[in-house]
Amino acid sequence: MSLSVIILIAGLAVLYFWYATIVARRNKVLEALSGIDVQLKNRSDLIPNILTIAKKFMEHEDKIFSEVSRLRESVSNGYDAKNPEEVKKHLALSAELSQKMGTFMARAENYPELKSSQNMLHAQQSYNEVEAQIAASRRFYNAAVGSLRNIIQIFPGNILGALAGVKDMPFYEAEEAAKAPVDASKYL
Amino acid sequence: MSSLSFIRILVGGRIISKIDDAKFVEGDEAKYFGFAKFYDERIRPMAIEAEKTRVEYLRRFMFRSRVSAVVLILVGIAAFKLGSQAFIGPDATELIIKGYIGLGAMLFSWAGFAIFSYHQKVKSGLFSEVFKFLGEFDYVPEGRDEMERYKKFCIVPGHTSSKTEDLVCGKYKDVSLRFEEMDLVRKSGKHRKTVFKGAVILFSFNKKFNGQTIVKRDIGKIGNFFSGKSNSTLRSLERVSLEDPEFEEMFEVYSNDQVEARYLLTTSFMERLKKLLEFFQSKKIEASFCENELFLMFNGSSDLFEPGSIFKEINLVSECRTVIEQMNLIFDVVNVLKLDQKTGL
Repeated sequence: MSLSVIILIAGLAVLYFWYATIVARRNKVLEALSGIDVQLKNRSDLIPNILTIAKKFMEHEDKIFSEVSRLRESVSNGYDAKNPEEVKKHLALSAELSQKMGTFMARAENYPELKSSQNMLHAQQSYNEVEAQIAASRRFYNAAVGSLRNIIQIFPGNILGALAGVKDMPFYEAEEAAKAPVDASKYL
Repeated sequence: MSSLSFIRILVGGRIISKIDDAKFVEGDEAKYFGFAKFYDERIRPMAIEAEKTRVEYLRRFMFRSRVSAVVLILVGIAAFKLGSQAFIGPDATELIIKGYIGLGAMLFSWAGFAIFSYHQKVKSGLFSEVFKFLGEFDYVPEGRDEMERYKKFCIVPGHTSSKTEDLVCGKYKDVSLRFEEMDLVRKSGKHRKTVFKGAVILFSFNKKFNGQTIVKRDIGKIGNFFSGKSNSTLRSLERVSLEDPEFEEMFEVYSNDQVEARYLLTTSFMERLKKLLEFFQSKKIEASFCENELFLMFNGSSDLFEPGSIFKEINLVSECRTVIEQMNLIFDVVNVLKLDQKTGL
């Protein structure tokens, strides 16, 4: 076999493995995304229970109850996991729901009877646990997206990625409100 | 100081014995609060017996050392005279030398065993009393060689023999802990290598988890590659890349669940794990999470729970302080890693 043929075969092999790596990393992102969705489902299942317990004590907080319910329904809607725009919207809604639940839990602190309710304490513990799992899933997803970006932004990964139909995916970012500086005077 | 005392006594100096009647001063440190009363009630009455024990074992050691020295001198003279004979060939001479060295090693081990026995006596007597102040702890000075218990964590290095000591079991802030010092040796033909010398701690963990996550020391790209390939458990796990660059440089993380690994190794937990290296003055720390337990190995950590020198009068206050300080090092692992904080369903 002539040298040029060997070089050609070696080059094709390298390109193939590069392509296979891109696909594998894309699949890793999808796996991570589905891991997030499992935890989001767990959270969705917990929220009605928390709202039911809290409604008995928080009679005049209808606005936040309806916002949480609305966001919960939106997050539970289906989306195309391979479409970066839909994934971005889905993750943004999830982040918004986390932020709203944070506000809700802070408001619940103003109701001593609710705070000391055993049902509420148990529900809060479960909720905190699920949030910890969501945080871990988010870190895995972001690591997978970072790994995918590294390979499809560097030549010839950008060409091979386009050929394979692999698109850049969005990071799961912290909600904007969480990034904003906190004004302590509001609370003191 | 100890070597001067040893020489002084060996050549016939008097053994100085003094009963330690000092009071324990608590000072400002919280770890000693309440110990002064405990010391007066439980430890000080042991002073006379403790010093008598020390002198008894010291006398035993000195007797054995003198006998060993005399035997070695006499045998040495005889061996030299025999070795100088013309009919003794080089092989026989080598045998005589090896025999003499072997005899010397045996005799000094016999003498040194008296010191070892004294240390074990102090540990099982005095140290065990101090542990009662710290909580409901079981203390076994000679350890309990239960390597099977640790094997499931898959970070114990391969070895052919093990030696354990200073086993402490109990609960601190509702966290079950088991501390032990161990030496692991691997023999291959004539070659003998210490693969681990340090401390291990097993904790109940405050979070529930199902998989296995291993944190190993980073030994460079090539070292990590071959280490991963040679370990059947690591081969079945995936590498986990974490966000902390300093942590990534120090450790390699493997897990069969990427999400769970990140659930356990939060950014703050990674910071605390790095701090532990300073606490234990250890060159190397490895960790493994399995079946709701956290297992830590500190290679090269300083030797804990060792009594003072047999050649000096026993200082009960100093011995007690040592035990309390060193146990607090172990408690600090719980505090630093916040293992007592409960989360969970």
